[in-house]
Amino acid sequence: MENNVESLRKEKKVSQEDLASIVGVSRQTIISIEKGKYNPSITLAFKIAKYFDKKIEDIFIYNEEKDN
Amino acid sequence: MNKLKANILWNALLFLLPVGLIILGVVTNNEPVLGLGILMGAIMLIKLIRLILCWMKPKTREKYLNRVNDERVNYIAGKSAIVSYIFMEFSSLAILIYAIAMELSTLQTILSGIMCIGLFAYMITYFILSKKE
Repeated sequence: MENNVESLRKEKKVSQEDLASIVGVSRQTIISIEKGKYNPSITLAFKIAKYFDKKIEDIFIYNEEKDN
Repeated sequence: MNKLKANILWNALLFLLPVGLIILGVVTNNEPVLGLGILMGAIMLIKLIRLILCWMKPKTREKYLNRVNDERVNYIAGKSAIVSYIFMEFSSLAILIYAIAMELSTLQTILSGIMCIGLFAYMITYFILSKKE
């Protein structure tokens, strides 16, 4: 799963710490999501999408080829 | 009640255990029990004070709650628990084979019992959690 969290966050000029606090997770989780190491739950994905005022599919891109 | 308050209450309740050990150690004049009670009490008291201090500062409280509610932390904890469980079961199996080879019957019985309880507990927990979620 690829995502645009890092670019959207930088666009909005929000720190990882602040984003983590807003969506209710640790900074390490935001780092892992941005690096593509961790796929968030649907609840967390919704929270992130809501914060950036975007649809989930605009932020998280499912890549079937990479998944297989 | 949030997780921090629940943790404080739980730790305060658990603090009765070292207190009990200290009383038991003093009454029976048993120094190892008294020492264990003091050691456990000191560790638990430090943890309790840390939690209370965390609860008193709003920013630290929020950070703490974000950390304990963090889904990645819970995911990692679950994964490491299952890996540790598998490791423990295989270690027990290795020691059990050694006990059989060395004809250590008491160790064989204890290890077989522990392994059976472990596997049974895993099955029961899995069944309960699968019904819940």
